[in-house]
Amino acid sequence: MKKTVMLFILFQAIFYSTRVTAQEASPKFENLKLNSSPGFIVLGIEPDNIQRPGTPSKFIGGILNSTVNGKLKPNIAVELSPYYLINQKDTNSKRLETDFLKKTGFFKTIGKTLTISIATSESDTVVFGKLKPGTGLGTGLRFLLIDGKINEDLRTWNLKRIKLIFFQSLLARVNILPADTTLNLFYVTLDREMKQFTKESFKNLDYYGYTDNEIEGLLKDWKDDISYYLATKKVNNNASLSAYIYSEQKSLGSEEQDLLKIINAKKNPLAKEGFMLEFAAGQSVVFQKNEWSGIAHAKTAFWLTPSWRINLSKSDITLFDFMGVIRYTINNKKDSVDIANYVDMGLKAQLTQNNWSASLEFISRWASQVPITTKEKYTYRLAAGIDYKISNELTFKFSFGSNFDGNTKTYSDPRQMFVLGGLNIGLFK
Amino acid sequence: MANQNPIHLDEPAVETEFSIPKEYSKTMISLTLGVELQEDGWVYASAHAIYLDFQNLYPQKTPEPTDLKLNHGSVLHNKSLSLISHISRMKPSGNGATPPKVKYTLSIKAGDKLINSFQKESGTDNPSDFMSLIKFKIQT
Repeated sequence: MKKTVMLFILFQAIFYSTRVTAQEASPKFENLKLNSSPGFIVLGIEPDNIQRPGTPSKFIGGILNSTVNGKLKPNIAVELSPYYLINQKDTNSKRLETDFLKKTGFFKTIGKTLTISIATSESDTVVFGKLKPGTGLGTGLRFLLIDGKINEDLRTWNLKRIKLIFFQSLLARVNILPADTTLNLFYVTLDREMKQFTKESFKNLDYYGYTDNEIEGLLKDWKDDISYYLATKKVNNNASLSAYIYSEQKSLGSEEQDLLKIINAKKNPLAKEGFMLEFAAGQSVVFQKNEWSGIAHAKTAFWLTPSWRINLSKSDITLFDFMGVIRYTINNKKDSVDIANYVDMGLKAQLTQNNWSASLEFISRWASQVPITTKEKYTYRLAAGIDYKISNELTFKFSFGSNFDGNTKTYSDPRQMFVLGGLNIGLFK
Repeated sequence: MANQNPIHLDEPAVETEFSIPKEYSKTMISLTLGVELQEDGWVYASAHAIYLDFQNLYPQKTPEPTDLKLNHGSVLHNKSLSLISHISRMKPSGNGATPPKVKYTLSIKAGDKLINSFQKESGTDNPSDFMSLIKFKIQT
């Protein structure tokens, strides 16, 4: 009965959120990667122990199949972003949404990327030691400490475009200067444009976040180019001035056109690259015998996930991700979930090409103490996986390998081989 | 004679006279720009350079101005408005081979009343530039 009540509450939460977000676009592949949400990890049912952080969504939910007590069971997770819940996006707008591309400070990065997750599953009798079987509830949070950088093509495009807009602003000014405009008057106009561009235009147009000094440096370089041309070509009337600026902006437009072709041909043109560092924490409780009164704390864990992403192709999506994890797990010793705490350290490599993704991960686990009958303090997890994106909402997942045995009783030998195949379903975004 | 469409696509603007009816000589004249993409799934980044004589009317450049005050009709007489709008299109979900056309609208109002609205549709070149050079005349 209690389990039914819990499921009803969860259903209500999902139903309400679905209604709130009904007008939004379908969830995307990247957004559906709930597999490594802290809620799932502390429940011990994650198919991926290490995963590169993605762009947070206002609210996403998914169903993940995993082996619990030797049987394949569906598990539910939801994850929400307080920042995007408060700062609602205009989903009807066709303007380029650039907020997430802006360079942000340390604390703002944390605030913008913080997500809170809740996951449920039947409790695994090995993972949760001597706790009585029931429903496991995992809660967690994660946020980025370092959030990567926008890709080089996007950055080059942005700067090229801003330079073009500067030249177009000059052209618009020169178009209405008197025909007998002197070079001195033009330089007065140029200086005026530079001042306004620095103070107001650049910061409003800029998608990446240049410092004031960098902006002044860029504008000075552009002015030097113009001055050099005017001096060497002996430009001395308004018509030739106008023709020169027009040809410059035309040439910049042609360069921008080439860049836009490259950017738009990509599969995920706005994806961030480079180094990211994520912090996560999670806690799991078990409702033993599915009763409210049977609640018992099981595990608390903290971890850091550094990751690097390299885009191997200019036009296609061929991404290589190299990731790691350092995790500390505190087990409930009073109720004999385990007698030890764990330290995990691991690495993962992943290659993503178009709709396919293949990965290999290895995680070493060290226990703070083991029973006298157990020889080793170390165990490991070694898993390979393949993902195939069928649609934005549906991903086929196949994983196999050896998993942690879950507690220190059989610690020296992770015999628990697992083979897992199934569909991950994105419910909503 | 009716006012002519002053918008030029991807070519230098040619000065076009814009006649303001005499009854609006003491009314505030304003400018509104509109950008509309002809296909879903695409987004755009825009920048608008707007100058009236030597004055930069819109230094922030983006988004599209709505009811941007120019001046009273009589003050605008013989003044030139130079306007360049730069529109770049991007497809966030990727695989965007052919950019959508852009429907660009330039409207001039006197108070709440529309004097004229002009439109120009781009091709599939990306980016697109819409250039206008307007010489205001108050009807005598």
